[in-house]
Amino acid sequence: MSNLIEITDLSKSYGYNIFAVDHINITLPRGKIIGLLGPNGSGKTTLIKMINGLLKPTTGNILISGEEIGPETKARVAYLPDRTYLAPGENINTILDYFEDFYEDFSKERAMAMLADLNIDPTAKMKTLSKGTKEKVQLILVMSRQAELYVLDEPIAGVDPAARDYILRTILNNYNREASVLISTHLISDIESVLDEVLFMRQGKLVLYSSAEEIRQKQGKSVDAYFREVFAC
Amino acid sequence: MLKKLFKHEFKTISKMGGLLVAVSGCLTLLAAAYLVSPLFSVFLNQSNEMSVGMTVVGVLLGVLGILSYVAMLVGVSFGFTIFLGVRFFRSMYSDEGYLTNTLPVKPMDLLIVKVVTAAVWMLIMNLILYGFMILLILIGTSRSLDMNFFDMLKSIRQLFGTLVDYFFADFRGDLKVSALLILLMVFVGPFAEIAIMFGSLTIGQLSWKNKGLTGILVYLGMRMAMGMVGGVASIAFNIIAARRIMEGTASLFLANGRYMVSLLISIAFGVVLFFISSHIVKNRLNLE
Repeated sequence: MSNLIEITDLSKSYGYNIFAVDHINITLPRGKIIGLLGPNGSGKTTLIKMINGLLKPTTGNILISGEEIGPETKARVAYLPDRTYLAPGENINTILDYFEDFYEDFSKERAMAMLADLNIDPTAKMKTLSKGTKEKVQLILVMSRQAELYVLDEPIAGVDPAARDYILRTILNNYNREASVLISTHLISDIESVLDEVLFMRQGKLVLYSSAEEIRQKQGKSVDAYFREVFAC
Repeated sequence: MLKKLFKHEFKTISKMGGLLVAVSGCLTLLAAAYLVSPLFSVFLNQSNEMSVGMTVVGVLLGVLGILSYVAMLVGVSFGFTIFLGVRFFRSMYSDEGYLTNTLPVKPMDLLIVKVVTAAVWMLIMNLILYGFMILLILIGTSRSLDMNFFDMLKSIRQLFGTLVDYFFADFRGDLKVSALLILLMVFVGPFAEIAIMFGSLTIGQLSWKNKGLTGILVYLGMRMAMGMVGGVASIAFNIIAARRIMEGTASLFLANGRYMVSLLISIAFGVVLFFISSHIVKNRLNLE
């Protein structure tokens, strides 16, 4: 089967010679959970935004299933940003209808079941929900799709440990097994157990791409410990 | 997809639009109640039984009421326009833009839906507000003339019919052009206005910081540019109209010319800004 993401000479610069992403070349396979790891400001979110068409690259290009970023790739990518992107005045039911209308791979039944699991009232308006609940609603929306690629930007940042467990369980139990999941985080220890592969980024550059198992075998330490060693201040 | 985009966009804007129409409707009802009340007789100086003090109060209330009502209509129209701009900015370029711009639709479709829905709603709002105002003027006139409201409507309908007959029977070119231009201003104007506003906000996205503020400044700049182009075009038009001015038949012709220049400039700016917006959203989108 062909690769899911092919990134060629990708860079994003802000002003002269300031690169948020610095000439990255990488190919990512299908069917893997991939950790996009790096300290703050390493370019993870910039890379993710370019994959989702929210930022235009300065150079290079991205292909998803062989296609350039556009409506076709957006139909295949389920994206969870690092912020609340749902209108505060809308209620959850309306948002479910919205997703059902625009994403053919969205399952409203699955979303309703997950909302029921978490005792979230589908008639509630977004503005009445706590920050953690809003994040759960967004995750439910994303994981209720049968996408080819799930891109999750800091899905467990800012939520309590119990919610983190739920979020990880939701990701693991709901993602399409043919798909890949790209998870950006710096809370590595919480997700290390689910990662197949890891990407390390520093100052916009890709410094490592390896399987999680290989790191543990070659380095004799966990991905989290190795990350701390690589990015020691 | 276009149909679905229209459905959701129209639904969202209708919440605020509907609310403003309801508020304006309630205030119009209140104003109508005042016009048919004895208090309005004081304003019309039709009551002889009231003291001078009461008459002054009545007149003051009447003047204040009319001014407040007109200010309310202007405020609703202005406020709704600002709402449309803010909503466009939020849904495209703030956090909500993360959802809008990751929908599996073409950027051009997104912009078409945003501009058309906002313009249609602006048109609806303007027509409803004009309707409310005309209704009140009719009620006020019927009271002033001490005439039954429905009889007056009948007379107006007859008068309107005569005017339409005259309009079509007598070949008065300038008058027909005036009527057509007014219709075009009413129906095409909102589309151009919205395209200019949304286009300016989109150009603001090219700035590195304070994108919203930059968008507002671009909009003000566009209005100034339109004013300047309009000024130059008016001078040119006045030169063309010089012969008519000498003949003394220029007033309607000049008015038409100014309307046409203003309309054409709005349409030209609207079209250009729409395509610039489309280019930016497709090729230069940079969400913070």
